[in-house]
This record gives sequence, C-alpha cells and structure tokens, in this order.
Amino acid sequence: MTQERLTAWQLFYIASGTMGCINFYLMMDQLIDMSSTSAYMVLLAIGAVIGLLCMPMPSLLTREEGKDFTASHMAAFGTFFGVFILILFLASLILAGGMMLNEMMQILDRYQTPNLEYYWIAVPLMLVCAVVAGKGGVRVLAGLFFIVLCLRIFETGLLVLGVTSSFELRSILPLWSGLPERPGAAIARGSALFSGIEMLVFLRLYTAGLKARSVRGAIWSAVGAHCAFLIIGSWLMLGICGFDMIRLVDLTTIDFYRVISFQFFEQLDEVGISIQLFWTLSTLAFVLWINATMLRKAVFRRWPEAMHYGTAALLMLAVAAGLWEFRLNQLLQKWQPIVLLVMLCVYIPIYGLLLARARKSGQRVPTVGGESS
Amino acid sequence: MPNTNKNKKANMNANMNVKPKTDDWHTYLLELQERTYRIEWLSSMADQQIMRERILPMLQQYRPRSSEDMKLILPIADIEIRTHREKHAFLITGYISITLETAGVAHPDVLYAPCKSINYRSVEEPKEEYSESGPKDAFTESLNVNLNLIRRRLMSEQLHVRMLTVGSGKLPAAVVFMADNRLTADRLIYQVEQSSIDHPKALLDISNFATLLYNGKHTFFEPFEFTELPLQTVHMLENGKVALLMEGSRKAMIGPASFEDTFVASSDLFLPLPQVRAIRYARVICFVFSLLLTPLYVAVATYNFEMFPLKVIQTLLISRHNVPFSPFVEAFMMESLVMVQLEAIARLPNKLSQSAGVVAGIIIGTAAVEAGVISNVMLVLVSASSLLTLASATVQLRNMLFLLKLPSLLMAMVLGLPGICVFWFLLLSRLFVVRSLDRPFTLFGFNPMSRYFKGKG
Repeated sequence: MTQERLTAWQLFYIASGTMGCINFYLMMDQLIDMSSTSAYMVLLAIGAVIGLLCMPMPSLLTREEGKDFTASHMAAFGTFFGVFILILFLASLILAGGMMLNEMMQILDRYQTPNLEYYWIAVPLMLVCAVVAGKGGVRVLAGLFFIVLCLRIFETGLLVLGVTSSFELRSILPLWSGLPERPGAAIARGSALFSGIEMLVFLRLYTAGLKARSVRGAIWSAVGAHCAFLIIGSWLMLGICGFDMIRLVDLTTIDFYRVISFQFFEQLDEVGISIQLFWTLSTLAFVLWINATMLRKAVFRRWPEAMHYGTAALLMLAVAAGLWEFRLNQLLQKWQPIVLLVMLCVYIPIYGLLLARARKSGQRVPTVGGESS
Repeated sequence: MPNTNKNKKANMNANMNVKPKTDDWHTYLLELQERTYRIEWLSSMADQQIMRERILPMLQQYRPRSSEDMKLILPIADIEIRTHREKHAFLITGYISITLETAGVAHPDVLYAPCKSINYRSVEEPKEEYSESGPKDAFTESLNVNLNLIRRRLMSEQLHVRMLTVGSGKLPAAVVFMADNRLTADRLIYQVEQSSIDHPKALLDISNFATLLYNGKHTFFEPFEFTELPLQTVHMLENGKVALLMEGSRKAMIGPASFEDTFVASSDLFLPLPQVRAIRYARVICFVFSLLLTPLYVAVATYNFEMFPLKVIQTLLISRHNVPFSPFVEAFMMESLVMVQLEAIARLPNKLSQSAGVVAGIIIGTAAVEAGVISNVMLVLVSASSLLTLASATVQLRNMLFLLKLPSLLMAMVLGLPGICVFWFLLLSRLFVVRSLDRPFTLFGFNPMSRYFKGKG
C-alpha cells in the first residue's frame, strides 16, 4: 500500500502535535520560567515527532484509504466519545480563532492602522478573507503559508545581513532602530523559519505530487533541520548559564504570536502589521477550514459548503466579540495552552489504544509516511 | 406483402427526393444507359473541381454497378457507404453523395466521397508571439495544416492525435498528445465532450471554447495556455502536456497549464540558460511590482507619509504642491488612461497605433503634468508600472494585470498597506483554487522554483 501524498488530515495531526507542544512550552514558561530558545526547539522537535507519529492514524482508523475521517473517528471511539472529542476540538479551535482575531485587533489598534482600528470593520473583513481562502481547501492554505514562509526567508536573510558590520539595516529600512542585530537574536528569529503549522503546510505543498518515498524524505529532512536547530539551540542554552546571548522571558501568547512572526518587519510599523495580518488571515483560514470540514462531516450534512463556512465564521465572530466585550482575552490566554495540552494528552493514549487494537487484529503496524512496513 | 414492399419502395424514393430548404444544395444526374448516378453536394462546402476531375471521368469510363464498385474505382480516400438518412449530415461536412438508380429505382446505399473545399490563408508569421530568433511560422485556421505543422516537427511514433467534433456546428477538433500522457489527454477529451453536451451552440474560437470547459468556468485566471506557435506546442507536448486544436482557430490550447508557465515565453527556447534564468526572474519581479508600485505609493502617500526618507518627501512635496487631487484619484486617472489607450490602439492599423501611443503616452502625460492635474512622480510611477505590465510573457497575464490594478489601488486607498496585504491575500487565495485539467494551476514542485532553475522547462 503506497501513499501518494500527505492527506489533509495527516497534516492536521502534525499541526496539532506541533502546536500543542509549542503551547506546552508557553505554559511551562509561565509556570517555571523555562525560558530559552533551546527549550522551545526541543519541544518543537518533540511536537514534530508526535505529529509524525499521528500521521498514519487516519489509515489506521479507516483501515482503507480515503474513508470518511469523522465517521471513522466516531466508529472508532464510540459515538458519544467521538462526538465529545470532535466538539472539544471544534470549540478550542473556535476559541483560539476568536482570541487570534482579538489579538490582531489589538495590534491594529496599537499601530493606528487606517480604517481598521474599529472592531466591527476589521473583524468581519478578516473573517470574509478567511472564508474565501478556507473554501479553497488545503491546497490554497498551503500556498498562502508558502508565501508566508518566503517572507520569513526574506526576513531572515536581512537579519543575517544585519549581523555583518558591512551591512547597515538602516540603509535599506529607514525606520530601523539603528541597533545592529545580535547574532544570537538573528539565529533565534531564524529558528522560527521552519516552525509551527507553516512548516507543516509547506511540507504538504512541498511534497505534493511526489511518491511516498519522497514524502518520507522530505519529512525526515525537515526533522533533520529541526535537529540542526536543536544543536544551535543547545549553544544558545549557554545564555542561561550567564552568557546572555538570548533570553525569551515573560512570554505570553500575544508576545509569542509576535515573536514567531515577523518581529523584524514590525520595526517598519505598517509593513510589519500588514505582513502580520497576512499570517493571521492564513491561520484563521486554516482554522475555519478545519471547523467547516468538521461541521460538514459531523452535523448538518445536507447543508451546502458555504453554509458551513458561514456558521463556523459566525461562531468565531461571536466568540471573538464576547471575549472583546468581557475583556477575557488576558484571562483565557493563560488557560488556552492547558486546554490544548489536555487535548494532546487525550489524543496520544487514544493513538496508543488504536495502535494496540491494530496489532491485535493482525494488521501491519504503519510507519511514518502512511506506508506499511 | 407486395403492398408492404411497394410502400417501402415509395418511402425510399420519397426519402431520397426530399430536398432540404437550402439553396446551396445542388443535384446533378449523370445518365449512362440504364443507370443514373444522382450526384449531390453543397456548393458552399464541396470542391467541385475534385468532382469534375476525379469522379465524373471515372464514372463515365467504368459505369460501376453498385456503391461498392464505385468505392473501388474512385481515387479518393476515406469514402463512406451509408444510407440516405445521413445524406444531409455528410453534405454539410463537405462530402459529395452519389446515389445509383437503376430503372428509376434508387439503391438503398449511398456513396459519400470527401471533397471538402479548402480556402485558408497560407502559413504566415505570428501576430502576437513575436520572437527575434527561431522559426517564423504560425498556426492557420486549418486543422489539417496545423496538425501538419506539429507532425513535421515531431516525427515520432509516440505522437498521437485523437479527432473529435465539438459543438452543434460539429467543428472538427484534435487532441494531440504523446503516448505517455494518455491519461491527461483522456481528461481533456472528457472535459471537451462534457462541455459540448452542456453547451450545444456553435463555437466561435478555441479561446471561447476554453471558457466553457469545466476548469475554465467561473475563474478570473485562464487555466489553459494558448499559443500560435507550432514550435511552442511541440515543446509543451514533449514536456508532458496535451494540446487541443480546432478547425477555424489559429491557436492551440495547451493543458494542464501552470501559473509558472505564464512567465515562460517562446523566445526563451533560443537563449542560453543563464540568460533565460535572469529574464524569468526579471519577469516574476515585474509581475509583483506591476501590481505593487502605484498602490504602494497611494498607500504610503495617503497614510504613512513618514515612511519616505526626508529627501524623497522634499521631492514629493515639490511635485505635488499644485495637484488638487489625492494620490488615489491621480493614480486612478492615469491607470484608467493607460487602459483606455491600450484598448484604443489595440484594433488600429500598425502605423496609426504607433502615433496614437505616442500621443497618449507622451503628449497627454506631459500636458497633464504641466496643467497640474497629476504630479511628475505619479506620471513616472504609472509609466513604470505600465512597462512592468507590458513585460509579461503572455497576453493573458498582461490583460489580467491591467484589470487587477484598479481593485489593488482601491484597497490601498481605503485601508493603506494592510489593504494591499488583504488584496494580495484574496488574489492568491483565488489563484491557488484554479485547476487546469484537474491539476493545480498554481503549484510548486519539489524545488519551488525548479522551472526557473531548469531554465527551459
């Protein structure tokens, strides 16, 4: 049984794993001040591996390729439990989306972005954009994240150039603070290049149309890149021992979204905000796409696709507006990582159980890439 | 029983003598002793010279007794023997029908000989895809000539042609492909047949037909490529694509197309690889900046004036101090003027279009600056933006860019730099949705820029 390419749901598992671990890192940061780039790297690598382990899950559940994901989940977990897990996912994603919308609103407001500082203009506009992109499916999302990655590569290139004494960032970016970039900071920001869901969606794009062997090659290359970053991260660990090369202290979710995304460009205010907006829209579209797919597969099956997107967008808008109205963003962002971590912790044992069930039934144990060994 | 036979005979004669109400239907009776040969044709479709030179002398000389005998003696290929009922259908495709009558009774089978009148222009130089080097022949409106132009460049057993008819006009069309790409060809054939069923009207041209295909509907971006060069078609066929040619169309439709192909020009085939790479990167940059240049100026000049360095601000202020309009109105006027100019000169004869271009581009622009309607900087930016647009490798991309500039300007005016970002987000979102022969139109390979690195791909 060979797999031609990564499926959207495999991608979803990887993204969940990785993002779960990133959020775990944030929580640990808040609890025990485990603040270093290397710790972030380690968790990122763990997240990627967990995500990769989760990859063959759909084929395990369905026992055949292409069978309906949600239906197989329900069948595998039992109706009540399956529905509960799906609702938990849906709710948390809508919550995360609502928070992200509000965080973007705060940034737009802070930088006095023209005509977008008003909540009831910016948020529906962002949702409309997200629906347009989400309706295109995973390939559209992959393309958008690819553009985000290109921007990051460009940003990293500029940062690396900024480290050298012969290149002054002010010469190309008039609003640059004028301080030369420190090597540690440049590497740390560069490390965000292949992290989070962008990397995973990029993989989906990167591997499209390739055979299973190439898919596996690309995945392990990405893991290799993470290991390389890990080595750099251990070097940066020296920062904890007094070599103050880089410290990421007092990191909150809002800061995190900013740290991993275009901090350099934010030096340019509006340019940075625009690129941040692009990143947020892509992520929102991704969240909406997952929500709408779940809705379509689980409930209201007879509704047209646009209705599902509309419902998911309205739910997200209601959550965002509620959070904004009751000033709950600050409170919830402390709990969001824990919720996601719990979700991950629930999912891993389920995976183990399924694996055990598959072994018991005599089915071959799948390996990374979805291909039987 | 005799009555039945008599009725059948009467029906057959009646059927045979029914003449549709079309004035270009001609009948000639060649009577040779007891046998009469009823020859029928449409003067608008059939070549009467073939009838005079190849058919009549043979009939007079051999006096065949049946349609089968006629088929043996006539020096014409692809002769068909069918019934009377199909006569009209055959005649409108350029056949001549010959019905044998013995003692006033028509034989049930009719011979149809292809004698299509061919009046096409000869092979000429390409009108749109100009190239300094390489062969100068372009497709004509004849399907056979076009197939010949491809075949003589690609004399390979792997090259297959599948003939189809499309639309209610029963236009002959051909899908050309290499044997390895049979699946892609089947996909194209399926889409062609489906759209022929869904849109039974007569088809005007292949580009018109492309909008009816499944992947071509409801999309702003053209998911197929069109070329008038046989050389480019051959190159595409060798690169795993399939081509659709249609009678009466002077272009070939190539699929599956990809967005990267819009940066590839036929002239690239004759240049050294490093040069091709440089040119293609330049085209990509041109594409991005043709959509960014004026909107960026409008956004920054409207909302973020502080982003300009001091010296640039000085120049801008001097340039704009007499202009009564906002940067958006300036840009909108100039971009609209460029579009109108291109539309105006598009259908003018060559000499006139050159003069019109000079008048619109230089004289009106300079006069507008002197009159204080627009600023110098805007004139420079709009001219540069137009040049960047005209640098596009394909006509489709060029037309698309001119249209996309206006919404881009509008978003820049309303929302500033985030507006430009939103515009690009929506543009890319729609671009990534497009599929060409069910393959993604915008998809990067293992190496995202592989086509550019390969150069000639």
